[in-house]
Amino acid sequence: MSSSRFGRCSEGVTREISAILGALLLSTALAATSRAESGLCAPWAGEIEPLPTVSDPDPLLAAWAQLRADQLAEVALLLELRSRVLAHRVWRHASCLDPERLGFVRALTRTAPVRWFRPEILGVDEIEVSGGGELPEPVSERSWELGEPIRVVLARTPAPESSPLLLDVTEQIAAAEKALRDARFELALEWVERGRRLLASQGPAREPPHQRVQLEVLAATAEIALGREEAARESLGRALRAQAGLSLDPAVHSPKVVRLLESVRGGDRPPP
Amino acid sequence: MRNAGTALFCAALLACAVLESPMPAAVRVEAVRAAPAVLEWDRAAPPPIHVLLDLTSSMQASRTGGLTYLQAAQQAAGRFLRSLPADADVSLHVLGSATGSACTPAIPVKAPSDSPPGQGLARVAEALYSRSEGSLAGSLEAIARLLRGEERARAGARVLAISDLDGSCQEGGLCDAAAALFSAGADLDLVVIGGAPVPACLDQIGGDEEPPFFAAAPIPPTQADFRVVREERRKGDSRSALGKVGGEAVNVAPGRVRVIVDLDPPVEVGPVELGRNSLLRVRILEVPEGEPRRWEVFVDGADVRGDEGSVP
Repeated sequence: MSSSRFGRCSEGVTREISAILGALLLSTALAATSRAESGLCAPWAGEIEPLPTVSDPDPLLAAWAQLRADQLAEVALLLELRSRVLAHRVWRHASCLDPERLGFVRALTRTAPVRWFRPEILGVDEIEVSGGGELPEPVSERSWELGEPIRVVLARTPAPESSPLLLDVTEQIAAAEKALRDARFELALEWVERGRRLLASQGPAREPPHQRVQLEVLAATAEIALGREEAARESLGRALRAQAGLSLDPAVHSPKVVRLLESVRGGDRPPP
Repeated sequence: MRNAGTALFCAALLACAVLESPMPAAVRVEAVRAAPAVLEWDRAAPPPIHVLLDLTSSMQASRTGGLTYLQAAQQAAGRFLRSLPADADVSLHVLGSATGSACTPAIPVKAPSDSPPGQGLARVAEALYSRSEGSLAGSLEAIARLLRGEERARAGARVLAISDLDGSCQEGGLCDAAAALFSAGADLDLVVIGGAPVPACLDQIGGDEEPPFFAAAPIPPTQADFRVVREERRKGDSRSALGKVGGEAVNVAPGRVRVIVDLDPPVEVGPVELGRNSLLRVRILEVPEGEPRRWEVFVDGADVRGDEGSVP
């Protein structure tokens, strides 16, 4: 196929091109051999062998590699909600097909199979117990993100009953994100709902648009995962009302959410 | 003499036939299928979580910020466990709390039945103290072995280890243990108490092994026929050549032709001008439902490309 493409070239140019092509083919073959030796980039079931890349000289194979990489990216984003390692394997395989794609490089960093943290040890907090009653549940029982400083609470005061557990919308957003990462979509929606109530209590004039956008995009992500597309459309509609020029980074957000956002922006309705 | 005359007559007939019939062209159709990427996993079941808490003597002996490493580790483990949802599938493994020989493996601890597992295990983690030695790497490898035998861990698992990385019992390397966990499909989060260095090889753990629940059915080759239809038929010539996708090339007379491939929906390529002895190659990239199908046409070095939105 490649020789026919250069059929009209003069003999000298053809020889030169042949030499360049030969060198390219040799380097590609060496790279493929090296990848194969390291156990990377072997084709998975149903894939073309040897695994092509998006820069394959055969345009059809290059198109296949592009399509497959896109498919894998969609699956890997879903997997990230559940398991870094499994998502990492899929991202790694996708990067075999498209090694230069920046989004894949970022995803590989984000899903590193091993992460380590060295939290700062802050020491001991002595907190008096109010009312002289029994020790309440420790305040430190609230969620701990890995790497967060460690402080030991020896005596505690109870949180006022009337105050919500998490006072800041930022914390509701963080809790919803964590629930999404753990693939706990219903729980994520509960946190989003609490965040919405908090925002509503501040009044529309004082509502920070970026927090509204974050909450609604989180809601849409969970709703899509639960198959509730109509609810996701409504959430994204609220996000767009808060920020008309909103765009979502495809490297961070599920392609389905990104597509749905564009569909909602364009006023498309799903077929009945 | 009569034989020689017959031979001469036949040769003359053959020469006339060659001069009058154009040399045939050929058409071949190939298809490459793109396998759909599908996950076959149960999203409802939360992935199992294993917490490994290092309570060996170095954790008891070292202090920072007015706390022993042990207190800090117990605080971190307790807070983490309490933050888990009530239905979390969580296990606690304790290293260095057994009595007996110096180096003992981590002991799995059962959650009290009177509270959600995370809450109960948090109380246990905070109540234990250092009594023996054990290998962190060996304990992680044991968890990896455990996970490999568990069906529920096929769709991912999470391991959290809290340690000062300063054990007197050496059994295997930390990176080997991390690699074993990777192969078992488990994320490893390492919380290091104190200033011990973290092995750089941990950053090298990775690979692209196919996840076990990935749709792995081989894609069957495309089964379809194709027709080559003459654009300008000569009077009385209504023939069209038939062939199979992925099969042998079929011979056709030179001229202007269209190729119709009986896929769903059908792919129609052309018209393409075929010269004598030319080979028309149609290669189709079959893609999953909802994607535009793409194809390429090669005729004697001239490439024509197209997709469902642009007929070449």
